[in-house]
Amino acid sequence: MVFNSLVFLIFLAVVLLIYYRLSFQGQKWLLLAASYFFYGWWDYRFVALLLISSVFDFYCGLWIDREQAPRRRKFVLACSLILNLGFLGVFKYYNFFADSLQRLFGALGFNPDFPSLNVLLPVGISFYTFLSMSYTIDVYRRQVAATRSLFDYLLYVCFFPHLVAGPIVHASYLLPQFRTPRVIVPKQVANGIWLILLGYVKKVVIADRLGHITQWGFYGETLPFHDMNAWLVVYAFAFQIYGDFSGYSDIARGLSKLMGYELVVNFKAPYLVANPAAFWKNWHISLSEWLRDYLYIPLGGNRGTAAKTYRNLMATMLLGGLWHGAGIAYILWGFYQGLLLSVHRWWGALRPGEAKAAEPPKTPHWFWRAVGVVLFFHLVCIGWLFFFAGSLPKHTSQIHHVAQYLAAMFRPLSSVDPLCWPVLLLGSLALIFQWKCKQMDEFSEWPMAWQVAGVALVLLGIPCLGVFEGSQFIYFQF
Amino acid sequence: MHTSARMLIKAGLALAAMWLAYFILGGWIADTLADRFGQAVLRASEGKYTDAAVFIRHRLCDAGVLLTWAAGLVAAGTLGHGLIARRLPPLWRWVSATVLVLVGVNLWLGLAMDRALFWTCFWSGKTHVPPPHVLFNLKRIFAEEDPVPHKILLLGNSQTKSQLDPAVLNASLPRDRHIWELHSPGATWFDLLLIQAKVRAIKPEVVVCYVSEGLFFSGGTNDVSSVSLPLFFRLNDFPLYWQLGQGKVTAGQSMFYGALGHVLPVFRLRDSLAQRVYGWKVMDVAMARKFKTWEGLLAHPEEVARGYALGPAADFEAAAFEEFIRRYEQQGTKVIVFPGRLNPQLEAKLDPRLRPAMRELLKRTAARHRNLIVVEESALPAQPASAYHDFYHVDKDTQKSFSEFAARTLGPLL
Repeated sequence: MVFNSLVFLIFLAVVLLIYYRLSFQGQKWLLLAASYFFYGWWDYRFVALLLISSVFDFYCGLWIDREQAPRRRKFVLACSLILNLGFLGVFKYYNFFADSLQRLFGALGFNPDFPSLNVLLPVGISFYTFLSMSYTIDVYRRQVAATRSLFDYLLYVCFFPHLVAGPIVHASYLLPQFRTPRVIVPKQVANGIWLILLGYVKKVVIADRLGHITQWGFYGETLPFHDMNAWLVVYAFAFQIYGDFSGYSDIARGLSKLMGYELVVNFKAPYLVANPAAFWKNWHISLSEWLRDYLYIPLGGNRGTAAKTYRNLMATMLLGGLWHGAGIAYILWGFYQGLLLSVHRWWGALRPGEAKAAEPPKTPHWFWRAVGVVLFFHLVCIGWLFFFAGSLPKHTSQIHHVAQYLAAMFRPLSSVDPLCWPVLLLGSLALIFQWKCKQMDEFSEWPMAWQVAGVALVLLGIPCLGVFEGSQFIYFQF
Repeated sequence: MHTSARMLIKAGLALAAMWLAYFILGGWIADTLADRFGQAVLRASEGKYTDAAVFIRHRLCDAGVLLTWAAGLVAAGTLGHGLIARRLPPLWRWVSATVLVLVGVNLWLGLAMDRALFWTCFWSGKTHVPPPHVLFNLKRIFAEEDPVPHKILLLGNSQTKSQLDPAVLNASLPRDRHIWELHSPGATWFDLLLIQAKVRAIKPEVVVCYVSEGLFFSGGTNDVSSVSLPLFFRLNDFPLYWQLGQGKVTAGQSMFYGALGHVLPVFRLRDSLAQRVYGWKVMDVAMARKFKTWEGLLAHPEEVARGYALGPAADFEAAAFEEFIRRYEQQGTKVIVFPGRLNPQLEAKLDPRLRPAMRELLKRTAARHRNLIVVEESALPAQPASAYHDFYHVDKDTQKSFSEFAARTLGPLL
């Protein structure tokens, strides 16, 4: 059941109608049942997996919390991590690694037979396993007290707005909300409605429309462009993935607000920044923070030598790439992001006195800032090329496709293709949403004329300019 | 006096002056412009209009009507908001204002969709064909307005357009008769029944249809959804759909989109507006995937043939066909049908019972309704597979020769 389907809208209407008539405890029961129903709509067998993972982690959390002996605590945490990573490994990565090992051994002259698994990838498994793992790790670190209510914990993991594509919310942020009765404030509802509408605009007007261009541009047997026009397809993908994923996050946050809950902001203005560190503070923020808190810092962060810091950055981003998908293209994308972060860090260290200076760094002139933003956006786009290649069919050589595109992107332009206009138009719209991301969250504070114009434009724009093919959100595959 | 009230009064006075000028000077302006640009207008219309002065006068009227409706709706909305907002807490006033804006825009669009000037906003030039819905509405309105006394319509799916060239047919007709081609791509008989209601104001004397198995049997077994349904279906057509299908057929999403389009006219405009806003290439790119599948199917006529079947959907289309003829009989309109063919490569793979079933239905209906004339099938020129560039559409030479044949055939029947 995807957010942009008729069946979801019916589901939501039914849930909300009942929700507003129930007591707090009743609301929670309803949310739990609705969330499992929502997830089971894809495949009822996925619910069992989700339940096993959640129940196991709940009891691991309790045990870790109660246990005083460090070794036993570590053991229980390891059990929790093994189960979660095991699920991920079996369902998401086994075939990739088996295939890679088979090839490696084949190249060395051996022929071992690694059986391949014919299993469906459970929707959103990467999200809820990371969510669940963060809970047991936080309990282990004594950053959060283990919840005594299995019911609350199950709801925390399966809460349907964030279940399949995040945001990955820390237990300390969401769990307390399930303990205190929700007071539904009109302002929150108004903001929620706006966020849902905004999310749909990003999804059906921006992402799905640009999706036609990227599908056409990337999946064809031959390249559609052999000159700089190839950038158009890459730009289209950059704005498509932003619209798709930030649209999903907006809808998820909006839905939560309608029910009196708050989820964290997942996207700010990723394409309006000039360096990779700022990019990751604006793009998929909940994942960036997860990787920082549970991977980068435990690896040592920037506390050791420069070489160790670069190693930690690369390792974190490589694993971040692998989290997105089991494929060489995703690993290369992670490597590329790690490289950008490392170069940025190295460049920062080269600038004289910056690390030592007591005064805050000077803000660059707006012109140089704009140049930096444009240049960095193009670097991000090159990264997206790898990312998209990850979703190409297996038989296509993903790297070959990327190389072909890269070669075309730097050939002189013969004439500007007519697709320039829609990419420019929808890209500008996406950039406006990023530029005004703070205001987008404060709809109830707008003057009434802006509220009316905004909602009317959105409600007219969705049916007029949206694409209604019920397409999946890109991040569901992760 | 309140500022908005003063503005409304000023706008009202300006509109009244505009209409007064139109009634006094409209005819003269139209005639003067027609003297200067008439030939160019008629050339550009490519046979869709026969009188330039009438055309210009109607466009002036369109501009006035569209402006008046806009002003009227703004006035009504302002008054309505003033009344409603007082009863609402400040936080929710935006809701009532937004609802009024949406209702106003949809009402305006619903009214504007009967004005050619509105549809010309979606015209994307001769090099890039505008969406079929835009062309259909422009031609429909031109046909309604044209003062020619005897009007003839070509109705059908894209095969009608592919086989019959209205320019060739019009060249053979006397000046008091004129033919308009109003095809709808992918239409079946139920779609044509909906289109019939849409073109009622034209009051055609004769309707000409090129029919093949596609109009009767392309719905599979019980699914009657089509590309035309979202554009023409209205909520009040539901009883007709139920009566014809007797609950045995489904139209699912396309009917839902049609009903939604009836309530929210903005929804019917989405393809036209998307092409206008994003340009023609975005639509081409979106279609590329479908064409690729389609091109792949050209090598597999047996797969395409599987979509043509007898069953509840075919019964539904047969009932719709008879209803179509019956309604025109009541209006005193003659219907002339050319029992045409699909590409022989596809026909060879079709269920052999389909062609006889179609013939039998045409014969039976002609016996019941005197306004239906079915051209003798054996008289139609043979069209080999080489005359088609896909399973349905013929090349230009074949179109010309078939149109000449149709002109000769229609002459004595009109």
